[in-house]
This record gives sequence, structure tokens and C-alpha cells, in this order.
Amino acid sequence: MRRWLIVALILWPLTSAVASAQPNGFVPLFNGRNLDGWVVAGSPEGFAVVNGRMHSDGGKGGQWIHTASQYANFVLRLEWMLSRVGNSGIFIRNDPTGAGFEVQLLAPWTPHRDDLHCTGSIYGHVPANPRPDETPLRWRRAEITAAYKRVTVKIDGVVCADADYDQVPTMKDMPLAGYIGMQDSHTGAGEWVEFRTIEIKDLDQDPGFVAQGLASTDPAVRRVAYDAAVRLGPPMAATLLNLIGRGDAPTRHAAQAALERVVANASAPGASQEASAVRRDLLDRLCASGDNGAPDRACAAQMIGLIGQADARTAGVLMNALLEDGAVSAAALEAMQRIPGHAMTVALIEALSQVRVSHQPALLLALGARRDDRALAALGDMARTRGGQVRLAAVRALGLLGSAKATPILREVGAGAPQRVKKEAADALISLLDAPGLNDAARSAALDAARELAVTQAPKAAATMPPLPAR
Amino acid sequence: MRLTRRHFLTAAAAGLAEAGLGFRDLARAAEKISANEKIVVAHVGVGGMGAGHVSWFADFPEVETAAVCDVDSTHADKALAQLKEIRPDTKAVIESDFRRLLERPDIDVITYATPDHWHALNAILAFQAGKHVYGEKPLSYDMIEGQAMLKACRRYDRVFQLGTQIHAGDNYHRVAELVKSGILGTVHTVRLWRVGGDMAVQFAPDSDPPPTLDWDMWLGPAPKRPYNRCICPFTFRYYWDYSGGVFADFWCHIADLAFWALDLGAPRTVSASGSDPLDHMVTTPSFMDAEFEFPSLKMYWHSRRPDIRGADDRDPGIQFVGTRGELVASYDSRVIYIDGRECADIPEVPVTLPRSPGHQRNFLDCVKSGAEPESNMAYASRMTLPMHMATIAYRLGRKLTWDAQRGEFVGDETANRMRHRPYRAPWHLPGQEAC
Repeated sequence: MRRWLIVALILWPLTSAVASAQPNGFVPLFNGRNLDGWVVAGSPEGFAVVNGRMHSDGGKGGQWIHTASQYANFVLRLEWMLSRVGNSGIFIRNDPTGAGFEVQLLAPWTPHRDDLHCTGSIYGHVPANPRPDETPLRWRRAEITAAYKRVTVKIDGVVCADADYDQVPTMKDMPLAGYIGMQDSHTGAGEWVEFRTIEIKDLDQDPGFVAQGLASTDPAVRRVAYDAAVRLGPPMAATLLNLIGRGDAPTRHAAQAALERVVANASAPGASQEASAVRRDLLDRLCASGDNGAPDRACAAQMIGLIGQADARTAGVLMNALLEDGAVSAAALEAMQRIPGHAMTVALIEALSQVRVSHQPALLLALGARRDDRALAALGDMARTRGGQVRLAAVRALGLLGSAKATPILREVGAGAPQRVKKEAADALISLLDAPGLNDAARSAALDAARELAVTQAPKAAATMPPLPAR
Repeated sequence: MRLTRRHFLTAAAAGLAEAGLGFRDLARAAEKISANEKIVVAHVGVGGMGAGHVSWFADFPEVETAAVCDVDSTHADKALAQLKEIRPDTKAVIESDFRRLLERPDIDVITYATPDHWHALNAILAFQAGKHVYGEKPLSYDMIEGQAMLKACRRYDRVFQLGTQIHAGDNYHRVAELVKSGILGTVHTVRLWRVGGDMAVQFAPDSDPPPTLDWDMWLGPAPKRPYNRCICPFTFRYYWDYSGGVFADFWCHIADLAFWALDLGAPRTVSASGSDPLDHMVTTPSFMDAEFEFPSLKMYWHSRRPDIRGADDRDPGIQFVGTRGELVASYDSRVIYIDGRECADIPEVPVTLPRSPGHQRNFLDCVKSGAEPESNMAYASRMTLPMHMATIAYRLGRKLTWDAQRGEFVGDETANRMRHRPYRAPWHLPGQEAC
């Protein structure tokens, strides 16, 4: 009982937020009781809640009231009523100093205001057409849609302004994100404005919408979409992978940068829910059958290396990817090398018998560098029974292992072997000398074994690196 | 008797030589190069900065240049032609794979000016082959590489100089002297800056590499990818896969002064922020600010000019703020503020640091004497560590805490995984097992 209560308390903020979103995706911005979530830029008396409405009296210096957070792309709906010669407006994408757009809200007054400065106009930028009825003392409805560079204003259900930044010279460099707000009652004392049912649909909560922005050819739009993708976090991961797989170069580039941020944020200590969600999407993508070289799957593998867990499922998925060819395989091996723990060692050992011979040296070296004694038997077996580069790599890997148990195997393999193997075994034994955790007796044993394998030939640098090209 | 590590290593090296394990050059190390003997040098990566290496070293009379090596034959041809202008009778040869240089017992010194992702292999394989090394900055591509380089340098007892040649200048010596003298009081804040970072590298399609370039060898231990002219040559610095952007390019030059003058250890925490480039092909930040908490002071990195007196046109620049005054310096200038008084020098502070004979000269002298050069491996790795910490903090977007004892971040698995990027097989990092 008590346990359920605790769970309920933890979930409460989340569920209540979800519950407040209506099926159509709109969320109230104004609760009708107080101004929580709003900031009055001017004098606090300029705005008040009266009978469940947001009310502003003229002459009180409220300047404007704005949301606490910024919005880039959204559909904003509200109802407003003006007094007889009231004057107000809705601001979007404003910065705190007030630069941004105003959709004008006006009662008809003298002197007459032109269509560029009347209700429904984007003040000073785009005239209202058709000009809405401005009769005051009635509730009217405004709906403003801001989607990247397009801003559409509907008054009482009729579109009266529809503008594209790139088509309106004065709007060209206007911001694509900022605060949403309302102007105070802008005429003198005695005049007023009221707002109610203020609600918003944040388009940047929709991965599909954000993807459109990332696919835009406009750098400013890509930047806003990148910010939205990073804010959205794990729900964006799969969509970003799609873009990495299919987009053009700038889109892939932006999507990859965003995915790296999403993964980084989800990897933060304490973000375990986010981490699980991202891991699931990354693993799903890596499992999905597709073109071997697909950049999205290679990227997923790479990201798993940073955030993946050391469990059997992750190990299995990475191992299957490792058995492919090309970029996916390379990225999977990199990921397996980054992730600590026995599960990955076991998977690498299993993969060893399944990959092509040309691939085995890479796996052997990766196994050695893990310094996990579980690899000892597999490495010893390869060192004893194989030839060529595979044998050399197995010998070198036994040295990387940094375990005293490698010494007798290296001594045995080196004895009677060709010079090249002998030299590699001696090098491997010497590299054991620096391994942490080896006591003096173990070091002496390694040094003695190295002495036994004394070679007379000049050393060849690192035989297990790529063979030197022929002269 | 319990052997100390140093005893053991010395004994081990002697034992190896005695056992005839083929470490002829290790044995050779015992016999120092005498003062009037020639030093045989070979250069790796001779486009760009490497062309400078060729001339600098050829200008020393006791240096004999044995080879110029580059994965792009155009660079190697040019470098050889350049060498012939200084040494018309040179017998230097051209190589494309630097490991050929390591097979030659007559070569004493390797210098390299390769991309960052090659530095660790260049240095460690050279140490193993008994060569002394003059290596370009930054020290290493990642943190674990830096540790492996330090271990190898010690194990094979080689001389290493990081190519931070500004270190040798008189201004740097004087600034270190002034700060060390205590005229600023207790220094509690250090600001470092290098203005810029937004690299306008346009998106370009991948293509075949130029016929003169061995692209796979250029990539070396870095992930395989098709050639792109917007990566190589020159602009590799602005991609995470090969380097760390303007920050990693300039950190060691200007942070050098702070580490030298204040004898700093490792920071306890690091955080970094900035902006990812979206409009250009590059991946390192358009700008980046970082903040380090050292036990005794705070250090800041800015990629925009800080609004402080003395910053003026100093770039890259450094500001020391102490309880009694401030000092602002660039590569070749400085200004001091004590009690509101502005001056360029404090004559009462005596010259206490011996001046450098020049960065490359200092290196060659140390090759002969066995002494530690001015930007030696231990110093270089200490001063490079915070650079790696900051790039990881930037990429993760969070503050990180460093455990210097364990050489790892505290409670951050992903940050710890980012200390090293596994090598593309069949390349592997020798000595990694010891880190």
C-alpha cells in the first residue's frame, strides 16, 4: 500500500502534465487562477486575474506579459476582448527586450489605423487581408501558427495574414524562436483588455515536424530544429537515425550532431530512464536488416559504444553487427571495445570462430586489450594452432592481457617457433612487465621467459600492425 | 629488497639488452651521443608544419637529415627539394611509411608533424625502436594515448620534446619568472583565450583521393571513411575524428604559461559549453568556453575575447589574476597591473629562469646530454590532460569531476569510455595495457 503511494507520488507530476494535454495536442498556458508560468515585463500591477480572465488595465505600466519559456514553432489559440478604444497585441518569438513580432489587436478608433496596423496584421510587416471586424466588447478568437519561416494569423476562424520570412523583406532576419506574450492595455486609464482560454500546441514536440526542419535547406531553420531535437531528447532518436540514413549532407550532419547531444544527455548520471529509451532505439536500429553500409546503423553502433550496457542483449546485437561487413562491422567492434564487462568478452570470443580469417587479428587485439582472463584460453588456442597474422595477433593479445597466466603460454608458443613469432612473443612478455597488478615474481618470470626467447635479429616494429608495403 | 618501479625498469632494460633481445637501440642509449657527434634526424609528415621541421633541423650543423616521410608523395618531394636548398649534398631519402625509418639503426631522432590521431603511434613506435622524438602538438588525440606515450617514453628512456616552440621565447620566460616571483600575490584566477573557431568549410562530396596520397595510411588508427578534400589536407583539425578544433590547436600554446608559471597539477572539475557547427562540414565547436576548478584556482577558456583590461589585441592570450595584481600576456607581449599601476616589467624581479637556446636547439642538446627538455613528456602530458577533459565535458554537455589518483572521471561511465577511441585494426595502441 505504502509502496504504491510512493510510486503514485513519483509519477504524479508526469501524469498530470500528460492529462492536461488535450487529445488535439493543445496545452493550456493560463490556468485561470493566477499568473503562474507568466512573467510581467513592466509593473506587476499591469496584469491581474479577474473572474478567471487575464486582465490588463491601461495606465498601469504593465508593458507586456510573456511565457516563462521560449517557443519556436507552435499553434497558439486564445480569446480576447477589448474595451471601447482598447489596443493590445500578441507577441511571438520575442526576446525579453521586446524585439520580435506583434499580431495587432485593436478596437476601431480614430485616427483610423491602416491595414498594416489593424487587428490581425503582423504589425508593420504584413497587412490584414481581409480586415477582421474590430467591434469591441466582444470575445474574439485568435489562432497564430508559427512553423519555421511561415506565420499564419486567423481571426475568428478566417486567415487574415499568412507570411513567409523569405517573402517579406522586413521579416527576413527576424528571430525563429522566443517568448510568447500579450501587450498590456495600451491606451490610457479606463481602457482594458482581457484574455482567456490561452492554449498552445508545441509543434517542436512532434519528431516529424522537427525532422522537416532538419531537412530544410535553410541553415537558420536547421539550427532551430537542431535545438528542438536536442530538447526533445530520446523520443527524437529514431527520427534522427532516419535522417542520418537518408538525408543530404547538411541534414545528416545536423542530425548526427543532434543525436550525439541526445545520447550525451541521456548518458548523464541519474538519467537512467532516458538512457534506457535511447538504448532501445539504438539497438533496434542496429538489429534492423538493411544495407550493410547504411550510415544510420553504423552511427547507432557507435553511439551504443558510449551509452550501451554491458548486458547479453547488447553484446548479442553488437556481435551480429560485427559479423557483417564494412562500416557497421567496424563501428560494432569499436563499441564492443568501449564497453567493459564479461558479456562483451564472451561475445568477442564467440565471434572469433565465425568471422573471416582476415578479420580475426582485429578481434584478437580487441580481446587482449580488455584485460579479461576469460579470453586466455581462446587467445592461447589461436596462438598455438593458427599461423600467419592470426597467430602473431594472438601472441600480441596475450601480452596486452596483462595477466601472469599468459607467461607460460607465450613461453611455450615462442619456443621453437619461427623468428617472427618468437620476437612477437618476446615483445608480448616485455609488455607484461608494465601491466598493473603483476607482482615482482610474475614480472621476473615474464622477463626470464623473454630471455629464453632471445632473438638475434634486429627488431621489426610492431609486426601485428599492417604489414609494411613492399619496396 | 622490494624493487622500486624505476629500479625494476632499469634492471629490465639492462636485462633485455644483456639477453640480446634485439633492443640494440636500447643498449645504444647507454652510450650518449657526444657533443661533437652528428645527430641523424628523419621527419614524418612534412607538409604544413613538417616543412618547418625540415628547415629548422637542417639549419643545425651537426644534424644530418636521413629521410623525409609522408603519406602524400607531393609533400615528401617538396620537402626534399627544400632540404636540398639548405643541404645541396644531402643523402636524404623519401619514405612513405614511417616504420621504415624505425628499422634504420643509424637514425637517432624522429620528428613528426602528422595529424593528431597519429601522434601516439608515431611517438611510441619510435621510442620502442630507440629513437628520440620531437613531436608536434597537441600531445595526443585522446587521454589514454597520452598516458601510453608517457609510459613508453619512460620505459625506453627516450628524450621527447613537444613542439610548443613559443615556450622558448624570452617573453614566456619573463612572464613565468614574474608570476613565480609572487608579485601578483596569490593567483586565484587564470583566463585563457583564442578568438574564433567558426570554420567555414563548405560541404563537399567524398571522392577518390589524389593519386599521390595513401588515404588509408593517412587515416591510420582513425575510423575508415572515404576521402574528402574538406578533411585532408589542412582542415582535419576541425573534425572530432582527427583532432579537437581551434581549442585543441591552441590550448597547449597558451595553457603552457599557466602550467609553467604556477606549476599546476590536474583540475578537480571541468565544464564546457559552446555551439556545434551545423552550417559547415566541420564537427568541432564554432566556439567553446570551458571552466576548470584546480585545487588552488579557477581557470577559464574563452573563444571570444574576454572583456578585461589588457586583452586588447592579445590573441591567444592569458590573464593571471592575483590578490595583488594582474598580468596579461600573449606570445610576445605582456602588461602588468599592480595597485592600478600599469607596466610591462618589474625590474626588481631578477632573472631566475635560464633562457632557452631555442626549442629545437634545446631538444638536440638534451638528446646529447640526456637531460629533460623544456617541453618534456611528463610536463606535456600534465598540461594536455585538461584539454582532453574539456573536450569530453563539451561533448557530453555536463560538468565532470576528475579523480587524479585513479586517472578517471568520478561516477560517469560514458565520460570514462571517451578517454580513448579504440584503434581501427590492425593498428593498436602499444602500451595501452599499462594505462
